[in-house]
Amino acid sequence: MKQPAGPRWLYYRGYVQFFSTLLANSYFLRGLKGFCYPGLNCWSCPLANFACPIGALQYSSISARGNLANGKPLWSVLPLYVLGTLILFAALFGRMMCGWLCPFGWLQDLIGRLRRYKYKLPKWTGYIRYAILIAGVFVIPYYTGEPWFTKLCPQGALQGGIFQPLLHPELRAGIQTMWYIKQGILLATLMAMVFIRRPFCVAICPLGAFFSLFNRWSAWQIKYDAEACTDCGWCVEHCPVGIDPRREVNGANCISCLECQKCPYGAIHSGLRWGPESTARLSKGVPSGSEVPS
Amino acid sequence: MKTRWWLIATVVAGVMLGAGFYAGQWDTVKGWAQVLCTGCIGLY
Ligand code: SF4
Ligand code: SF4
Ligand code: SF4
Repeated sequence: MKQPAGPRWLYYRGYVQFFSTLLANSYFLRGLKGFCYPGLNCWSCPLANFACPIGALQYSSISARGNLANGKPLWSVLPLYVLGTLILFAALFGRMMCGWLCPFGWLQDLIGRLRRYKYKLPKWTGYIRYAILIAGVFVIPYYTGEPWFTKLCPQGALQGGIFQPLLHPELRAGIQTMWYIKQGILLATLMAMVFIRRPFCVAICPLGAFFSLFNRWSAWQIKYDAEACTDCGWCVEHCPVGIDPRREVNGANCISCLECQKCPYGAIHSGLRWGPESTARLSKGVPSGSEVPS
Repeated sequence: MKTRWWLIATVVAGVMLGAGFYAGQWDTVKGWAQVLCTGCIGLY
């Protein structure tokens, strides 16, 4: 029986996710609502402390059009503050926010526990999230003046769509077809979480897509040591997004959760690369004929 | 020496953040965040 190993702190990920969700929704820090939390957390949640970066980017796209029409220069309508915040986190930590901080990512991990065997989405579905980022967050809001990703976002349906009408009865009068569509999307997403590994993160999330762009270059890097690897397949079995860590750690689809660092043979490590002598990407590739049943 | 892209990106991000902050975008975002977003809730 292969026993997971690795440093102790790796085993506290669930607690970190819990405290991150608590931090983002503890009500008392609402004076900081201008801060964009680096995770998918709805700013319309009654308890939310921070802004949703995806919501902020959509409203930036919407207001940019009006401001450009009013003759403002291009640089002044760019969402420098929101993008700067996101790039800062991503340049340092890649997609670690997905693995360790994001409340909606945590929800997927929790619901995913209901069923041990889960399907993996085919690789091409990973491109959908980039299309959603470009179209749903920038292009469509710019041209239609409506935040279309937000209108369909399941995290909004959960945190805003359920709790706000519960707390404010006067809002219930506004419940129409769109509310039901949104709740349907939430229900479908929740169901998918039971059967598929992190379905929303793999295929849909525009914030994850944004972070993905930096995962390969970020200061935090995961290293795979092909010499130490015995091709036991433990990491492949335990990766929450269903990729093969031997080939794809640090890749665009890796959420840097570091589950694979619990490798029983110590073949996967991670850390910050500060020096020029980067030890990252030790990967020598997987020896041929070492396919693992997955 | 390999290009330290993460360092370049960090510096660029810091400059963007600072410029955006200076231009008052923190308050703009805060304003959006404090108003109930009907899109999030699903009301029309
Ligand atoms: S990809 Fe998943 S974990 Fe990352 S921000 Fe989106 S919902 Fe959260
Ligand atoms: S890296 Fe190699 S040895 Fe470690 S869990 Fe994965 S397959 Fe097994
Ligand atoms: S490859 Fe490793 S760090 Fe990346 S998502 Fe899979 S288990 Fe997590």
